[in-house]
Amino acid sequence: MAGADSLMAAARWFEASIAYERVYYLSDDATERVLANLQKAEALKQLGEFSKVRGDLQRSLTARVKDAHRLELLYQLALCSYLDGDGRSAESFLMQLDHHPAHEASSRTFLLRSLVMADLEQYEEIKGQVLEWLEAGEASTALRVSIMDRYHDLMTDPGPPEPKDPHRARMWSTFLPGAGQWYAGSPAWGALNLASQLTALAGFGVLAWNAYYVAGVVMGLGPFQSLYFGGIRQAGELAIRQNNSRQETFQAAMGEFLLDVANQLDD
Amino acid sequence: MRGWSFTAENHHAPQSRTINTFMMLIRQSTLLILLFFQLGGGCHLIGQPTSAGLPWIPPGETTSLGAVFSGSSVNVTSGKVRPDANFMASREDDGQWRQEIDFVLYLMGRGDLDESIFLLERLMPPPPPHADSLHYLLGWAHYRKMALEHSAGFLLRVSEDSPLYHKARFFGAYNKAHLGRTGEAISILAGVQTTAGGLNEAIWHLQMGGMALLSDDHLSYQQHAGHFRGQFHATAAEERRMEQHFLALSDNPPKSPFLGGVLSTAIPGLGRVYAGKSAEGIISFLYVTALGFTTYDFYRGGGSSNPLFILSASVTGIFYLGNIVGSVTAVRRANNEFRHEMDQRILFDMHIPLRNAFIR
Repeated sequence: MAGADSLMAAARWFEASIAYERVYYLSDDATERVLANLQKAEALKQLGEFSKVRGDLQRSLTARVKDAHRLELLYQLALCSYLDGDGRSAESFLMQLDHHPAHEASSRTFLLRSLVMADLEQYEEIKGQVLEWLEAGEASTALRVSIMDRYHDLMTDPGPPEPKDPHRARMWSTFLPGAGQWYAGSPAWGALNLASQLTALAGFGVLAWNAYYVAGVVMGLGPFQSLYFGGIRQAGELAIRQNNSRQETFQAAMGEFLLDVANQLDD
Repeated sequence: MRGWSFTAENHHAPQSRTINTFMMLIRQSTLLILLFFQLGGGCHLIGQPTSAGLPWIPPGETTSLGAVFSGSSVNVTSGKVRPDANFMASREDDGQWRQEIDFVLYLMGRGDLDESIFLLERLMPPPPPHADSLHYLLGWAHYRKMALEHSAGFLLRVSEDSPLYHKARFFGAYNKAHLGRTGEAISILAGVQTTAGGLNEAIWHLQMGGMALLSDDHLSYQQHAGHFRGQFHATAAEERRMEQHFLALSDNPPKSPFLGGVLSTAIPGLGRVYAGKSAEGIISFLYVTALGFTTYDFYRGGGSSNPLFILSASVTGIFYLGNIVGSVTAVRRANNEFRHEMDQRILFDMHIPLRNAFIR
């Protein structure tokens, strides 16, 4: 274990992870195995291999270990699930952590739970969590007011994004070209689509007016139908893309706010 | 000197350690009995190759017995026990080696291939008795990582004396074939000796037949196919399928890109239909025809001096030529797709018997 620790101290994460795995493999002591596993998780986290950490830590969950170690395992599993982009699993491990008789709420669990809630778009529930967190952290009244004001500001302006319905966007563009893109939050795309469809129709009109009927159909109506149906499809895709983008932006702002809360409480 | 073999598959540390401990006890008991009965008579059994994954006697120790238990050696002629410093050092090294390899096997069993390769590469260059095992394990770890070039490089270093020789050669050659270097793969397999009528021979013919198909050598394939007997479960189904692949290749010679171009010159899109891409052909026909009618429309309305006619005719001409070039490309693409599909099927049916025969 000492050799592995020295590799860890030297920031040689990959070698350290192997050394801890060797301790896990060779040791007959359940506690030492769990500690090696947890230390290996730290090394792998430095390498960004959160998925691997989850697989490794699951091995120790069934071991007969001290409560403190089990709580640490559950916390690390929740953290790595969150970092691995699996909010649902993180929530599940946090619930297991909450229901453990030896569990005591700490700043890091409040922070992680709040971040997981933001990840799962449970923005309203974050308020209760932050209040509980401030209570547990014995924050001063001024700090509480300031933090809750910031939360309210965030929730009102810009506020959680209202998802745009891709089906509705497509319907708008079906009956009014360009309107679906406008509804999805991209008025420029809407205007461009409308203008290009009108140009194609105008091309058809001019050619037909000059008795070039075949040319009008091929060079006017051909591009028009392509732009019309393409515009409907684009409206739906823009709605989905905009939803994801707005959600990510708001989650980033909420995450920043929660990290600020943690920093202020630590101070 | 023969090495000892490992099987990385299904290797899990707890079971492996338990089995190893148990087998070590059996082996040590056996050696004690041998020692008891054969003192003074020489013991030729020591140093013989051991079975896969079991504790082993250090290679080359043909006259020392007791060191397995105590770190001392026994002179089998006199029966006297004496300390042997060199041997003890060698035993210690072997013990560490074995421990390291056991750990690597455990990591490979967990799928930690990068870690396994890292540890194995630290053991390079290997001491001669362990070279085969190390090369094999490195080759196998790279194979599982799909790093076929590295895998072949290590597997092909396994010596003929190793019990893993055939597996290493077959997989090494297969890796080369998968990388498209069929010629190298054939020359690797050409040097492999197999037992007449045995499974290895059946696999050898199947591999050589598959490689002949990959390199379009139908004559050579037929020579190897003559040895397909269907007598081994590991190869029977693949032998039948290899015949089907041969028939598919024989019945579908490559299409001519030139003919595809000519057909599309006559009727736009027909070359693509010939290539087997009917939908593309119809679309090609429709747009070239539509542009042609548009050009005629402008000609009808304003004669050949009409700028719209000149513009439209130029565009139609470009699209018409594009349709011809596109058809040539489509035929080439169709040939490549068919060849790729067949190669994948052949490689698949070469791979399955190797897994059936060598990975249990």
